[in-house]
Formats: sequence, structure tokens, C-alpha cells
Amino acid sequence: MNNSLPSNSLKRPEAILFDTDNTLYEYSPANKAAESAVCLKIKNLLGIDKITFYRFYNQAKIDVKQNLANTASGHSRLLYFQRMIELLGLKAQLLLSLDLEQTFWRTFLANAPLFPGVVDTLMYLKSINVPIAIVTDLTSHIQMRKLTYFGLEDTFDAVVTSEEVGSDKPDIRNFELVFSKLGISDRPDFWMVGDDPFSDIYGASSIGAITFQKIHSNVKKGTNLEKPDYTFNNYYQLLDIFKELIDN
Amino acid sequence: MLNKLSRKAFTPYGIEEQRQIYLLHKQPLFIIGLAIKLLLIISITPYIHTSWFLPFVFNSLTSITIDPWSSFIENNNQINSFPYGLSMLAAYSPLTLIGINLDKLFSTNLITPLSFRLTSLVFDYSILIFLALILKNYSHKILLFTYWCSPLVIFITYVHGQIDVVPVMLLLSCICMVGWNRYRSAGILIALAVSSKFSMLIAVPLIIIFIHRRKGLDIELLKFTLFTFIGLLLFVFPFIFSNGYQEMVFFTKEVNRLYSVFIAYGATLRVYVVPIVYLLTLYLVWRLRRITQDLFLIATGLGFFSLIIFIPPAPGWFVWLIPFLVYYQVRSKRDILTIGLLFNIVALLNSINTSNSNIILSMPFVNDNSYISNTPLLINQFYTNVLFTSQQALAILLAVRMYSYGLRRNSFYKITNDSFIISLSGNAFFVIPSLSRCTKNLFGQKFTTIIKSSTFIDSHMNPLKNINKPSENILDKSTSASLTELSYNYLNTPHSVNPVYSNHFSRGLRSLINSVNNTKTDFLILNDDINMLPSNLKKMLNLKLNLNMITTRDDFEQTPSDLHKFNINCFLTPVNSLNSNSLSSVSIDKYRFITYLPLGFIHDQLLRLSISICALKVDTELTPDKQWVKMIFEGEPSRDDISQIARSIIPQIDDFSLYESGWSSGYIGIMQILIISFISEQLATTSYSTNLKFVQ
Repeated sequence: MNNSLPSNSLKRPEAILFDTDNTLYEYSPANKAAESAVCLKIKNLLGIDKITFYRFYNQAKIDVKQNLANTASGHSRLLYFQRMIELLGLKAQLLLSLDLEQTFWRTFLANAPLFPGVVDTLMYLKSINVPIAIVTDLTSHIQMRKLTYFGLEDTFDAVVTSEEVGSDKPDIRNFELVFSKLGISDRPDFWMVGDDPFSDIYGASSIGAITFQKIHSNVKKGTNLEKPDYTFNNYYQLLDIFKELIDN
Repeated sequence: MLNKLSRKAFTPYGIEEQRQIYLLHKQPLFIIGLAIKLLLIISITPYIHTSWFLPFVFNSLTSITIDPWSSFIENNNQINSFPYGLSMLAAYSPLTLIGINLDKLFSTNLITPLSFRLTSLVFDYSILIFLALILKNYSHKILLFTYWCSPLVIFITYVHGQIDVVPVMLLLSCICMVGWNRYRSAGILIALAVSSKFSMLIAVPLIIIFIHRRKGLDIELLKFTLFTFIGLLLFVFPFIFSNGYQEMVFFTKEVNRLYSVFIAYGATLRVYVVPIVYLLTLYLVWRLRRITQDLFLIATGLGFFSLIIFIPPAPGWFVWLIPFLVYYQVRSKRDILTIGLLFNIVALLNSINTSNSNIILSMPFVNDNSYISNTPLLINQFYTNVLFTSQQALAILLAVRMYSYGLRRNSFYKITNDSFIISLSGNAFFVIPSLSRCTKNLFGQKFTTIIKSSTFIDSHMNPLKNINKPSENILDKSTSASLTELSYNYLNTPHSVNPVYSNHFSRGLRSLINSVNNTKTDFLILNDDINMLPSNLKKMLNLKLNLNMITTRDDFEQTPSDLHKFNINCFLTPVNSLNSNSLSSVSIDKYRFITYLPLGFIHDQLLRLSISICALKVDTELTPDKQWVKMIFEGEPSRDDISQIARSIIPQIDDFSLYESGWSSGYIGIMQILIISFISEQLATTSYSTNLKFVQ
């Protein structure tokens, strides 16, 4: 735990916003397992080896992201797989694209357990009537599926995905939309919990948030403008920080 | 190949298991246990290491030969130095070899024994990890307290210096592989365990029974036995004609312990107790129709207990037992601080007391002089006997408690003659046979019987076709629907039918009941309308699933009035038209699936997982009487989706030993989930599982 602000200078937040991917659960292992499942399926269905799969898949990701930079659709696995199949010279295999997308997300979810303590933290915030919301990139459908899978479908007071805004974080409109949904002022005293130094920490701190960065494997602490006010390694630490800050 | 896409197929354990193991390392108890072990490794050199094990390993590594046992004896060394096989030598060789070379480099003699002891730590740690993987859901603290910080294991391994952690680790890894359906690896691992210590043979028949009860006489059992045999051929057979191997490994003094407890039959004859007790344990396990992993592990522990209880145990033998005792303690959350801890302490004291000459310790980093403890704690033989009696009494008590817990946990495949009877009825005639067949594939062909009730009645009434027919002329009808009507009329209305017809009908029913009673498989699926069954057979049904077609809009919108007659109510209705006249020609995929589930029965999880995992369109509503939740499904979940939902919904699914390839896609898959969930819940909560009796 690391903090750069004295706890007695903080006011009770009007809302606490959470990122989803890599903040509520660890993204990399789930993504890796899901890609492996798709790779295996492709191998079984089309006889394409692992190296070829990843070469075309990575190229497809680059192509889609170039066309749809900083948008929710830029993360769409369906578009990645559709493009990959096109790059493989198989033209429009729509059913296969849909099938691969389903395999990807099914495996992803099976390998994406919530971090320990997430539910305790959220329940604590609900118990003291602090509004909580999700501000996340990616398309609404899959993000809602994820939250439903986690059993958090009724937990948050508002959910905003970058698909609703048309642009990924740190686009300020993501935050403005969530404030609007929560029915609070345009520049409230709010806290942001996320993993990404740029989109979460910089994005939220640029409009006055107190920021909390989740640190785990492959997550680097933000520096300079992306420096968080607090860092935490697990949610029990965060819960202790919240209790200390809010009770004070 | 596509069935291999399931999570378990390509990663034996998932992210959650990895995280649990990660969290295990973060526990203070893990750090404390590790610190104690490292301290002991650094400060204590067990006597048996320096005088027995190390000379043999040193000799084997410095003068390499194909028969290290004979080579060792030829150098006039002690015959009881290393009563272990090839895999034990291989296990201790890598680190010891590094130690030998480092000792040469730095001109010391400290690193070799240290590296030998570190090998024990590696295998001790591996046992912890395999226990965690086998247990899946467990309390970190209980596991660490009962195994990692067990005073008995610490004393035996790090103070006394026994190296039985190696065969036990290999045995646990074999059990893990069986759980992951990797029978070839399991076979090789058990062969390695036996190769390291022959007493591991105790577990082999139990593993074979376990696989047989889970999979039957099938390819899995063949793979396991074949690879065990290949493993033994590779790791044991090449040495059995070696004199050194025979003298050091086969005919050890430990083998004689097997014959130390006996009942005298007259002046000369003796009945040895241990083989009888072990055979009895095997027989008790053999008589169970199917075995859950819990009971299998507990039975294996009991097999080892039978040795400990009925013969004077060597200290190292407790290490065979402790992991299975820990499994029981972690699962049951019982006997942790009371009997379990007491057993640890008493067995520890008894080991110190009875193995006085074996615990001569040297403390190389303290001073040059060795500290020798060769005095028994208790000089008085009476007190020694009392201590030993206490140990054996606690062992018996633990064995009894483990056995009783194991039987209760085995409720999924209870010790009874009765099959679990599933009735599939309704007017969805083109779906019910598919559902029966798919469910049979899921449970396993050998473990499931399908009986079409109407066949029995029809076969006994066919002769009537050539005699005077009843006035309704219903015997001309051959469909199930007409037979249902026939049976229903016969059983429920005071009618005056032809006595010959009545007689044949009764014979048909008797034949059906006899067939049900004589079924020996775990699951019996009865097709046809439940109304045609006689009342005594209806009472035997454990699960009544009704599957009907809805063809009119009124039926779709109204809650059926007879929901309470069945445990699970399912309906299929065309997506586009509710007035289809050719239902049998319409694919099931073009239907909407409706089920009414009792309030509180999995509907919440099913809704969440159906939406999140397979993006189905699901609509739910509560019936007006608030007794049922109506769920309407639209979509085509794949077989892998269904499998994953089932794994998430049914915590005890591994106890069913289902065939992964038996899951179906689509609505039949959803019905399979409902069936397994219901059975799981019923077996866990009703008295059905408490009526224990042995298989005749």
C-alpha cells in the first residue's frame, strides 16, 4: 500500500468508479487461456498451426485497432476473428467467426475469477451508501455478460462502457456519462479504482479524482501525470484504505 | 477432438487453482512451516542420512554402474543402507550430485548432506501442492496446519531423516492424474512410486477398483494397467535378478514386520493379521458400486492405517498415512485440533521413544561435536507400552471416523441396490428418446439402463391382437400415446374390459416392475407417460421429468395446472408459430424451451450463466402462486457451453464421473443440466442416501 495524500484531507466521495478488466479480475491469464482455446479450435477445424494462428490473429488485431482506434469496437473479438479468417484467405466465414468468438469468451470467463476481496469491498461501499459505478472500455454486451458472470449484475448503481460514448477512456465523456447516470454534479468529489495508468489514473485524475491503482503482475505503477494517489496489491488492502479514509 | 476444448482438457487445473496455490504461499503458516524446515535442514544432519542413505547415493553417483545395489554391497557396505528402488535413487540424485561437486570445489563435506536434505523438502512441498490440487476447495489454514506444520511429518522427515516423502508424492501425483482423466501418466507415476518403495503396492488395487467403479472395464482401466505394467517393466524388472537389489530392496527387515502380528492356531500354525485386515479393506471398497474421490482417498488412507494399527510401525510409515488423514481433516473439518493433533503428538513421542538409536543428530554449524540422543524417553517398558497403546488407540479411532465420514460422503453412489430412477414422460415423443440416449451417454452406457414402459405392456398384449378385441378397439393402436391412454384408462377407471385383456395387461405391468427391480445399473431411465405406471412403481421414481409440446397460444401463456406432479417441467414451443400441425418434422432448434423450476432451485444461477457464458436469450417470471419460476430459453448453446454451465452450477459434479462427450448441445443439454442438478441436490439433501446397505 502506498499513499501520497494525507487521509484527513479527503472528503467522503460522492461516487467511487471502478474499471473492470484487470481491475476486478486478472485479465492476462484469462485472455491467454481464451486465445489458446481458439487456437486449438482453429487447429482442429482448419489444420492451422499455432504459429500461423498467432501471426494472423495479431495482424488482425492491428488491422481492426487501426480502423477503430480508441473505440469499443476496436477490442471486438468478433471483428478480430472475422479479419483473421479474411487474412487466412477463407473469405467471409460468418458462422466460424461467431463460433470462435463464443469459444473465446466462454473460456475467458471460465478463467477469470474475481480478485479475492472484491465482493467484500463492494458490499462495504454499498452498506455505507456510497454510489459505485463501472466505467470500462469494450462493448456493452460482453461487459454486461462479464458482470453477470461475476454475480455483480445488481451491485453497481451505474455502468458505462466506451461503446455508449464512442471513445475509450481517458475520454472525459465516459466519466461525464457516469456522473449523469448517477445523478451527481459534473465535477463531483469522486474516487477512481483502476489498473491502467493512462486510461484510468490519468483519465480520472485529470478531472479531479482521487485515484487508486491495482498493482499485480505486469501492471506498472503510473508516474508523473499518471501517478496514482494510492496503490494496492489486493482488495483487502483497498478495503482497509477505504475504511480508514471514509471513517475519518 | 472438439470435446478437448473444455477447460479441463487443455489445462488440468485452471486459473482459480493457480490462485489458490498462490494464496497458500502467502499464509503465515506456510512461512512458519518453511522456516522451521529450513532451520532443521541447516542445523541437523539425521544419523540415517550420513550412515545409510548418503553413502549409497554417493557410491551410485561416483561409481556409475547399471546395478548400484550390487556395486554398493561389493564395496562391503551395509545391506540395509538403501532399501529403496530406482526412482528413489533418481529423486535424490540431482541435488546430491550438485552438492558433491560443490563440496569438491570448496573442499568441504557439508553441502552434499545439505543438498540431500533439500531434496526431501522439495518432495515434501510437492505433497502439499498435490494435496491442494486434489482438494480443490479447501481452507488454506487447515491444510497448512494439518500437513505443512504437522510435527510428525517434520520430525520424521527432517529430524529422523526418513525419505518416504518421495513415494507418497508419486502416489499423490498418480491420484491427481486419475482425477484429471490422465490414465497413462497415472500408470507411470504409480509404477515410479512402487519402484521407490514397494509398500506403495498397497494403493494399486484401490486405484484399480476406483477406476473400474468410475469408468467400468473400459479403455481407461486398460491404459492405467498397461502403463503401470510398462512402468514396472522399466523401473523394477531390470533389477529383480540382481543379488544386491534382492538383498537390499526385496528382503528388508521391514518386510518381516508384516508377519510380526499373528493369531496362534495351535502350537505351530499362525494366522497373520495384516493381510487379512488389508483384504477386508479391499473387499469393503470392492463392494461399493461406485466410489467418489473422497471415499477412494479415505479408503487408501485406511489401507495404510491397517498397517500402522496391526503391526509395530516404522517411523517413516506415518508419512504414508498423513496426507490421507489430512485429506479427511480438510474435507470434514473434523479432528483437527483434537484427535488429529493428539495422534500427531503421541505418534511423535512414540517414534522418539522407540527409535532411540536412529536419532543420533549432528549439528554441523553449531560446533564440531555431535549431539547424540540415544536414550529412550521412557525407560520403563510399561510406560512405553502405554504410549504405544495410546498411539494405536488413536489410530483406530481416526480410522473409524474416516470410514464413517467416507461412507457418508459417498452418498452420490450410495451403498444400495436401488437404481436412481428417472422418469421421462410427456408428449414430446420425438425429443424424449434423444434426451434418454444423451443422458445415458452422459452417465455412461454401462451405468444406465433405458426402459420404455409401453414395450412391456405392448409385448404382453400383442397376442391379444388375434383374439376378441375390446369394444374401444384400442389395441389396434401402436403409438405410445394410445398406450398411455390405454394404461391410464385401465389403471384409473372402474372399467369392465375383457378379462383376457386385463390378465395380459397385468402381466405386462408385473414384467415391467420385475425389470425395474432387477436393474443393477446406477441409473434407470423410464420412458413413457407416468400415468400408465402402477402406483407402487410411481413411488419408486426419484426424478419425474415431464416434457411436453405446446401448440396453442393459450397453453403457452397459461401456467399448467399439474406442475406439482413432476419434479421438473419442460415444454417446447415453436418459435414462429404456435399452431404448427407437423411438429414431428420440425427441428428442435426451431423451438423455444420453457421450464418451470421450483422456486430456489438453480434458476438464478442458470439465468446468470446462460446469459453470461452462452449469450442465450432467457426470460424469467414467477408463476402467480409464487411456487415456480418460469424460464423461457431461446438460442443454441454449444456442448462446451453446456458443460461449463454444469460445472459452475453443480459443485459435486466430479463425483458423478460423467462422460464429457455425453453433454449435448441445445435444449437437450439444458435438460441434462436440470437432471444432474436435481439428482445432485436430492442425493445431498434427502434421506435417500442414508439408507445404507451393502450390495448383495
